[in-house]
Amino acid sequence: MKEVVIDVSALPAPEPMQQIIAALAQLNAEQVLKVIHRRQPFPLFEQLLKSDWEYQCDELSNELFHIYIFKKPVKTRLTADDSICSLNEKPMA
Amino acid sequence: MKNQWLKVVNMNLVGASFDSLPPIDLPFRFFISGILFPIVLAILIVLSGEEPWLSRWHPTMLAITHGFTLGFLGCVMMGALLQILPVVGGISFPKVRLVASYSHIFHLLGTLNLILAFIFPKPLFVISSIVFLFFGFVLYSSAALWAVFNTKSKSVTISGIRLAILLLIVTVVLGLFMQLRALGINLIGLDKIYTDIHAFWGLFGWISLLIIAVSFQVIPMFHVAPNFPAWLSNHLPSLMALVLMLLVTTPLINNLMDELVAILLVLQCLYCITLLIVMSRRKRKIPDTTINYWQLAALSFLLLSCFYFVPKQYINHSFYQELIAPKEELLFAAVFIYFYLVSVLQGMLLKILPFLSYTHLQQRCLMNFSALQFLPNMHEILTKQHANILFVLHCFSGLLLIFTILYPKLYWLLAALLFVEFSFLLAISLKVIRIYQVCSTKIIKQSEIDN
Repeated sequence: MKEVVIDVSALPAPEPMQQIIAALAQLNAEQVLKVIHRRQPFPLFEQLLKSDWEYQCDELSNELFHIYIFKKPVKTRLTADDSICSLNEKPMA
Repeated sequence: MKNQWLKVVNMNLVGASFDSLPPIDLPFRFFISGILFPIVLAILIVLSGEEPWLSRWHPTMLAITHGFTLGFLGCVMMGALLQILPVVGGISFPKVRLVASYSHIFHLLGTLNLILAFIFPKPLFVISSIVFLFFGFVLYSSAALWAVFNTKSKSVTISGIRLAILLLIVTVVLGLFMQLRALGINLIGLDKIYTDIHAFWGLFGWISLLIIAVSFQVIPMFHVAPNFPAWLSNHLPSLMALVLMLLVTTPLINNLMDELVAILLVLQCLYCITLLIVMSRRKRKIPDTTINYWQLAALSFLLLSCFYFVPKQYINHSFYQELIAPKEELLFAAVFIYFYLVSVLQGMLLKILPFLSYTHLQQRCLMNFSALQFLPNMHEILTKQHANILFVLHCFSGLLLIFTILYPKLYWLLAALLFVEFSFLLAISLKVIRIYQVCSTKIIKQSEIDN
């Protein structure tokens, strides 16, 4: 499954949500959106659950969250090791 | 080894109880009614003349003070908390429409009756104020407590909000006890120290502590500033709460009121200095009126504290002795309430109003991407020019408040400026609501076409 990565950790609210929605509008069923965020966007989670999306949120530190968003029929293949790898690729903010 | 820093892996919140963002009209009704209070107070100030400005104990001055604290500050904080809890903790008040609607009505009726009870001390107004404020706060704070103790979030903001709500309950109980005196029921004696404790708990415990806790989240979130240092965010709210709790014991077991107040001011100064440092380290230093409000609030408080700590025996100037000294308490309270608390809340309103509208509209676009075209630009919802005008008006009305305390003849000018400032804020807020309604209608129509 191909990963599309966006980093919204240095954006003021509500720009992270703008970027995420824009990215989701472009996302196809074979892709997963990985969002690098400073906090857990709870209102986004709520709306994802109401729509045709699933998500997984990994808390790497108080200031670093990786959120994976994908279309509902696709099962997540992400593991803890995936999260560690992705963190090693991008240094902590 | 890699797992040492990986605190929680796969913290999937699917299945958690979400329906958190309350309908937008609920926080908005608190904000709008909060903004209406200073407009009403401006009329009261004009009608009351110079007399209320002679003493902090004058009934009309008590009515004005409570109109600002319960009316403006209370309403705005209650509305903001409704919306902040879902964003920070992913949880909403239980039965949010019911709780928000009734607590809002009770709070408004209670505050209006309290203002009337100060001016016309008739049993009807006193009893009405006690009943409405009691039920309003019980309903609101019990729902808020349920939410903050049931969220899975462990953020420092949530811990701070818990403390602020607990302190609010004590503030309200003390306030109700004092109101009962007017009915001849004396449960805490006539000592004025309880009035001071009530004021400290309300201003520092409920409002200031809540502002501090919320700022730990909203300043990094809105202004891309670094997080507050952990030593401060982890310990400051509980230390302030501890000092406030010790304050309650002063009439009973010791006489450390002055020392405890000094500690409280030092803690609050520590927060203000850290706030200014955090603000100065933000990544994108774009001009923002809300930043100006935070800076004005922090600097005003630091200045106020400097003045408080200057040994007064060294100030022999006749200006101080004749004009300032007799009204020192009133001046301290006015600067703290107007330049610190009102500044922060007005600045927060300028951020929250457009953010709320935008977030609610944005959420709908997740269900239907074609509706994205109807999203307004954030800066169109509330323009920078309007925000700047409000900030200038606020600075002038604050200065005029100080001058009116010193020279009460200026009361009519203060009333006029307050009226203009808060009418302007009301107009800005109504414009935001209008833009939201127009965009919302377009999005709904687009969704109907697409379906």
